Amino acid sequence: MSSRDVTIGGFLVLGVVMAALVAASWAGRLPRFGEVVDLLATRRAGRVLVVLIWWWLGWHFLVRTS
Amino acid sequence: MLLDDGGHQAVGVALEPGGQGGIKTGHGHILAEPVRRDDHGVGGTLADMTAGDQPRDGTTHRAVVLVAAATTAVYAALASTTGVNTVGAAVAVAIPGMAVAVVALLRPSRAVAAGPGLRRGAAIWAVVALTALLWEAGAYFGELTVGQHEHPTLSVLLAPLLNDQVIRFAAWSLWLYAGWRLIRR
Repeated sequence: MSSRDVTIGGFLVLGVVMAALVAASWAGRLPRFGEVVDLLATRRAGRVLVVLIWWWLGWHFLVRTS
Repeated sequence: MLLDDGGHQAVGVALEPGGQGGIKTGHGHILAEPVRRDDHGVGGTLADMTAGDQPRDGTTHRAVVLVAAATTAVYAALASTTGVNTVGAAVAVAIPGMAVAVVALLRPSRAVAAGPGLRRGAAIWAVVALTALLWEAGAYFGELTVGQHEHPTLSVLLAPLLNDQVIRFAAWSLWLYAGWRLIRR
C-alpha cells in the first residue's frame, strides 16, 4: 500500500465518519450539526470562526482548487 | 412535539419542563427569553418561535425562501462559469463572503444553553474536524516535501471533479446555501 493510498484512505474514512455522524443526528442520537454550529456561534469569536471557515472553504475549493 | 425547522423539515424533539421558564430538548436547553413583540401581537418566547427563529407568517417565509433560492441558483450559475485561479472567481467568493460576514457579525447573539447531549455532540464533531484538519495539513506538508502524487490534499483530489461544470455549479450552490443558513441562524 503506497503513501498515496494511505492518504486517500484517510480522507475516505473521515468522510464515512462524518456521514455516520450526520446519520446519527438524523436518528436523534446526536445533536444536529446545525445545533453545534449554533452553540459555537453563541459568542462573537465563535461566529467569526464559523464565518472564516465557511469563507475559506469557498476560497479554497471554488477559487484555488489546488 | 414537532418544531418547524424554518420550513425545510419538521424536527421531532422530546420536550420536558426545564425549570427557570425554559424547555429541555434531548440535547440542549432552549431559553424562554422574551423576544420582540410586533404590532400584531406576534412574539412571546424563544420556545414559541420556530427553530430557525422565524416568525410564523408562512406566506412571507415562503416568499423569502423562494427569492433566496432563485438568487442562489442564478448566482451559482454565473459564478460557476468563472475559471479557477481567476479574478472573477475571487470576486464571486468575496461578495457573498462579505455579505455573510457583515450580517452574521452585526446580528445579536442567540441564547443557547448547552446541555450534556449538545456538549457531547460538539466534542465529537470537534474531534472529527480536528482530525480532518490535521490529516489535510499532513497531506499538504507531504505534498511540499515528498510530492503531490504521494500525498495529495483534498483540494488536489477534488480539483478534477470541480472542473466539471455541473459539479462546479452544485458546489457553488452548496457553499451559498451554507452561507444562507449561517445568517438565518
